[in-house]
Amino acid sequence: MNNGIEHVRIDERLIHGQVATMWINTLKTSRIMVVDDVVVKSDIEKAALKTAVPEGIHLSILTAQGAIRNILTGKYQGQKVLLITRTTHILKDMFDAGVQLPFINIGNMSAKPGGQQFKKSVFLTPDDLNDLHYLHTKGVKIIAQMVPTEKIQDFADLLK
Amino acid sequence: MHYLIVGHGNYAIEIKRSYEMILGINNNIHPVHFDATMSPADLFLEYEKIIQKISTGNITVIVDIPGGTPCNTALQLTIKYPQIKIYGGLSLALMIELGMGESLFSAYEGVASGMRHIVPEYTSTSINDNGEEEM
Repeated sequence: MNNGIEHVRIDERLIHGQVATMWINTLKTSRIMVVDDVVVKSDIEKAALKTAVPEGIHLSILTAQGAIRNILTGKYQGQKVLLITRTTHILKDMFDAGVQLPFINIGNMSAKPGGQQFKKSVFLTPDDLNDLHYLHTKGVKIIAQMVPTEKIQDFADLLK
Repeated sequence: MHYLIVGHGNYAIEIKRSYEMILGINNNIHPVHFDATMSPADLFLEYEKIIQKISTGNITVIVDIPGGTPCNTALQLTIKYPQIKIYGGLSLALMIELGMGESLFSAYEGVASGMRHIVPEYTSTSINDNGEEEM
């Protein structure tokens, strides 16, 4: 039985407005899972996430360890989970801990020092690239698609 | 559907830019700039340029405020182009609703539902010492 993780998205803005709504409508998501070790410590950030979640959609706000534990114990089996995280290394950690990821969608990563631009809303640092290459060689499909109406670019295309 | 959007100053142009930051490029949104140096006749010409550029599909005009010059000038268009409808209340929220495929009627409803004091209302079904929560 699959672990319930239907879509994995890297988005520095986590859950934001209509982008979230569009994905939820397209994927028929039942739960959004935000995995971030910093957000869990901030009541303000958590309040913003709760406000941004469309009505009727379940929400999990978890540390990487918490997400790994819950997913591996099969807590979300039979659900349709959209997993959102800000960084590549959390996904690498989850993968290394044995979490199966259907694929990774690089949605939104902002400009930062040492970052290189790959598309309008995607800037990757050498560390990000290392993580993604690692996951790619381990067989995790990597794509970039900001909104469902945008054409899917796969990792190889992105690196061109 | 094509949307000719217009407001005072750079309003419409910036709405399109903001829209595209959220939903991506949309070639069916045609913004018009209007400033104090322009006469209603100048503005009318800007409208016509866009209308003539759009060869197929219906055109809806959305203005910022009823009774303003962008609106009044748009009303002149309906003499020459009676099929064109004019709506008010141009905003980013409205354009996003339309961009997501809502009809004008439900787009207005969607915008209205967001015009409120934003208070988080939720109940977490579980919370632990790490700050992890689920609902």
